[in-house]
Formats: sequence, structure tokens, C-alpha cells
Amino acid sequence: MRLLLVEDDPMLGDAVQRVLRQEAMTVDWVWDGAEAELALDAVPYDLLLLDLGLPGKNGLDILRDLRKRGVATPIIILTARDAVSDRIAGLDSGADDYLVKPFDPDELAARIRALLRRRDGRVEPLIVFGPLTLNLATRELRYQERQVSLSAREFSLISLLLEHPGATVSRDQLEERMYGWNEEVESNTIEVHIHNLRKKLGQNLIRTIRGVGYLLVEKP
Amino acid sequence: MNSISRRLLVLLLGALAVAALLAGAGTYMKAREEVNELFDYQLLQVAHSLSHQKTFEQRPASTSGYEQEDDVSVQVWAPAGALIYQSRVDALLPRAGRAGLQTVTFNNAEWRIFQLIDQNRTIQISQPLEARRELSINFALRTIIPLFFVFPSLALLIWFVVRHTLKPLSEVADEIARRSPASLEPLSIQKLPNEILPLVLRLNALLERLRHAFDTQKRFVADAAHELRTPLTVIQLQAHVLERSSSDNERNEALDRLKDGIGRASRLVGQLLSLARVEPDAPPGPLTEILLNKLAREIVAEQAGIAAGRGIDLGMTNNEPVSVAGEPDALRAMISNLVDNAVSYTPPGGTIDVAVLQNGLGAVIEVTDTGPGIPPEERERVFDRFHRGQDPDSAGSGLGLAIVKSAVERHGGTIAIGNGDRGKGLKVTVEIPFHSSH
Repeated sequence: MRLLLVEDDPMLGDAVQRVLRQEAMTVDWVWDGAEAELALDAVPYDLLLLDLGLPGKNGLDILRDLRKRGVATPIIILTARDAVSDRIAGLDSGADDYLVKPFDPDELAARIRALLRRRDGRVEPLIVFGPLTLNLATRELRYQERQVSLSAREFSLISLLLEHPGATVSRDQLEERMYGWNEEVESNTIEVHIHNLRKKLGQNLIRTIRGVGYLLVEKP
Repeated sequence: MNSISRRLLVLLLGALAVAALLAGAGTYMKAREEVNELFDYQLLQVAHSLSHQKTFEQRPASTSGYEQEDDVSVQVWAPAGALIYQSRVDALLPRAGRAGLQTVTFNNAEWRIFQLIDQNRTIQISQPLEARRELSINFALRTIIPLFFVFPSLALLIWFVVRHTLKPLSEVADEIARRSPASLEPLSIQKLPNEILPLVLRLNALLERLRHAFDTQKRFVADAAHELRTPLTVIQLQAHVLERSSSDNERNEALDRLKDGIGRASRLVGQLLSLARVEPDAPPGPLTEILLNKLAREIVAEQAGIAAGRGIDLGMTNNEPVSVAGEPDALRAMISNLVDNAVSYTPPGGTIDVAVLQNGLGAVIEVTDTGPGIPPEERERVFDRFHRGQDPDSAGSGLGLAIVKSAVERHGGTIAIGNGDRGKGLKVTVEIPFHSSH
């Protein structure tokens, strides 16, 4: 999944980005509200992490403007303000969740997963499709009741395919999900990861639709 | 006796007693005067009425009768000089030497005498003055005694009046007693008598100052806690990254970031302590004569390493001795933060000049750098606590200039922000009077 982090503190932004990358999430990081709006127009983010204490435009104002513009992306507020009134203001301005610094990194990741689960209308953090069961919380994939170990990139790839069962996912979509802005995308790297996945899951589960993208099928 | 009520009670009752005694004395004097006139007249009347009598017959002297009651003694002498009549055997006064009203002493008592001489008889009417005195005292006592009877009820009344009058005072006391350390709202001044109002107004002014100091402290603590959250989050997150890192490279990087976070938190704590010490509410420390040029040289030497590491030329442009009376820690924090700020904001290849000069009134410290400067519209706000410049790479506490400003104000000095040399960079000028007046 791909997240947008809006954070003006260089050290904190770096730390959040690293933590979430370890959780196999792709994180783009912008400094202020204006950049956030530009980024949201360009990339279909799964979730937005917003710091309230930003320079220039206030975090709550950014939040309200985004909602006014019809941005439905789940938003989690990260802030040092812990008063109940602040939380209420944050949630009422359109945030879906509210985390007070200092927060536990595992809790942040869990809340992100929970929000995405809710967005997709899933109750359990499990996606089941044919012989595949993916646990989004533990990042465990089971194929025919057998556990398959995945790299972070492979997890990103298979989770996107599983989120769109029976639909063709384009190469661009996959690249977008897997790589943040500063990360270099090698030209054939999607193919490499697909190749590796096929080695683990059998050749026929992931079909290549030439010139379009990839499709996950229920029965190989 | 330290109770206003009791003091008022005793003073008022005392004054009343004195007034009663004065009234008694006055009544006595007046009564004496009137009794004298009346009794003298009576003596005259008796003498004149007796002078119409042809003969006097000496009856056996009785101890009863109206004369006896009146204490009046009547004596009649024949022309030849023989005593032919006397009304009281116990009052054989000698015959006075002359006619008319007079006072004589007889048997150790004073007597009032009227002597009348007609047809060669001498009629002498005498009355002891003691009788008049007693009568006058009776008059006086009759005036005073009722007063003493109303004394207890009067005391009670005074007690109540005093209590009632002083009630606003005890109400103010009660209101203060009900206060908790956090409730520093001004006391109500409605319906307060003019005598208590100034006290309450001054108390309210004190409460206001207290509340201000309290609020400042509370805000400071809240701000401090708030600001510490960011570095603590960084530490927590990087520790987590370190724990889960799978490669040496990742681990080393996370460790570096973790150390950065800890360094930032420690710096922030140090700055907070520094600020707390130079705050206006902080107690003044002892003034010491300080050589500012020496202090500045030490600080430049301390920070030269960091500056050199960043490719910045940091140095002092003069070295004449300038001394002021001030607080050593505050002055050190002041110069140190100015230099530290300049080092943080000046890009590599830049120059920072520190100068310590003096004008007629005090010492002048100038720190000039070739950094980005501060736009004029932002120059007021840079002294605010936790205000950070727009440069996103700085991980400063946002307290440096707030500390500098507090330290300067502590010494009664001034601080000004301007452009550096040739209109570029930043020049901060601090003036500290030779003798600060804190």
C-alpha cells in the first residue's frame, strides 16, 4: 500500500518513513499542505498521515479543505496535541484516526491496516482468494494451506493483486504501489518479482495480460 | 490586645464611663451651687421669721422636730449676751463675730451660719455644710447610676455593632480561606466599605501578578512537554527500526538517527533549563564583574570545531577588554546561543564575526553571519519560544533567541536584528549597560 506522509520535522519524517517501510508500506513524504495537495492529485494514495503542527497552512485547515474537495482517502492525524478537545476537532474536521506523539510504531502500522480494512469493507485482516490467504497484519501468505515467505516488494505486489480479484492490474498501478518517489524503479523489476512469485505459487496463478498488466486467477 | 472588636469595645465603654463620671461631677458642682443658694435663702427665711417672735422660751432640747431633721441649729442671744435659746444641744456653736452669711469651722466640721441682729437680740441659724454635700452627691449619683445600669446592654449593643461593621472583613477572609492555589481570580469588591477596599484591591493586584506567573509557568511546562514529544517519537521510532533492521547498513543508519534523536532531546532539555534560569520570574543571581571579550573568546573557541567541520570561518574581530556587572551563566547562555544560531544557519563557506565593543553606556556584542538572514516581517516573532526558522533542515529547539532575549532583558539591555555586512546575512546587536539594574 502507498501512503502520503505530511510532516515538517526532518527527523520525525525520516523515522516514520523508515518504520513504515519496514512494514512493507510505500511512503511518500511531503513537507506542507500545498505539496500534499499536489501529491494527492498525482497519486492515488491509500492513506494520508498528517501532522497538525505544520508551517504555513494549519493541519486542520488542510484536512478540512481536502474533505471539501471530496478527497475520501483515509487520514490519520499525527500530533503532539493530546487534549480531548484537540482530538475531537481533528476527528470532526475529517480525520479517521488520531495518534498522539510519541506513538508506538506497531500501533501506527496496526491502525493503518485497520483503516484500510475498513475502507475495503473487510472485517478480518485476511484476504482469501481461491487457494490464497493473505494476512495483512502479519504479512503471511498461505498457498494451499502452506506458508509462503514473501519479501516486502512481493508482499506489496500480491496484496494489490488480491485487492482486485479477477481484475487486471496495470504495470503502472503496481509500480505506483511499490515505489515511492525517491526510489529508483528498474525497468524489469516488476517482471523479476512476478517471476519470483510464480516460483513460489506456481506458474499459472498470476497471468500476464500482454500490453495491459497482470491478473490473478482463482484456479490455476 | 489585637482584636479590633475588643479594642473598640473597651475604648467605647471606657469613654462612656469617663463621660458618666464627668456628667456626675458636673451635676455635683451644679447641685452644690443651687443647694447653696437654696439653703442660704432658707437660713435667711428662718432667721427673719424668728425675728418677729417676741420671746424665746427654752424648751427642753429635744432630739426630735423639724429642725433636727434639717440639721439646722437655731441660737438666740439676749442683748446682754446671754444665750436665751438653742434648738439643738449638740450644736452649741459660738456666737459669730459679725452679722450676715458666713462659713465657720466647729467641731471639725464646716457650718454655714446666718446671723441677724434685731432689737439687740442676736439670732444665729447654723447648718452643717455636710448636709449640703450629701444632698449634692445624691443628685449626682441619681444622674450617674442609671447610666451604669445600661452599661451591660450598651456593651452588648456595641459588640453587635462592631461585629456587624467588621463583617465585610471576615467575609473577605472567608473568601480567601476558600481559595485553592489554582483559583486566583480577583476577590469581589462589591459592597466593600472604603476602609477595606484598598486592602482588597492591592490583594487583587497581587493575585493578578501571581496568576500571570502561574500561567507562564504552566504554559512553559506544557510547551516543554509538547516540544519533547517530537524527539521522543523519533527515538521510539528509530529504536523500532533498529530492532527490526535486517542489514548492517540499515542498522547503522538507524543507530545514527537514534543518536541524532537523543542528541536533539538532550539539547532541548538543556535549552529549556537555560531558559528557565534566565526567565523574568527566575530569582536574580549574584552580579559579578565579567570580561565579555574573554567570555566571547571562550565561546568562539568552544564552537570553532563545529564551525570548521561545516566549513564556516568563525572568529573574533577585536579583543579590547570590556566588562559589565552581570550574571555569568545568563551572559554565557546569551553569547553561546547567538554564536550557535549563527553556526546553525550559515551555509558552508560562510563567515561569522563576533565583536565585543563598548559605547558610552555599555557593552555592545555583535554577531554577524553570511547566512540567509531573517526577513524584516519575521524579526519580531523570532524571539518567541519554539519559533523555528523556515529552514527545514534545522533541528534546533526554537529556544535560542528566546533565551538570548530573556538574558538581555535580565541585564536591562536591548537586542536588535539587522542585515549583515553589505546587506546580506544577519547581524544581531546586543547592548548591555555597564551597571544593570535587576
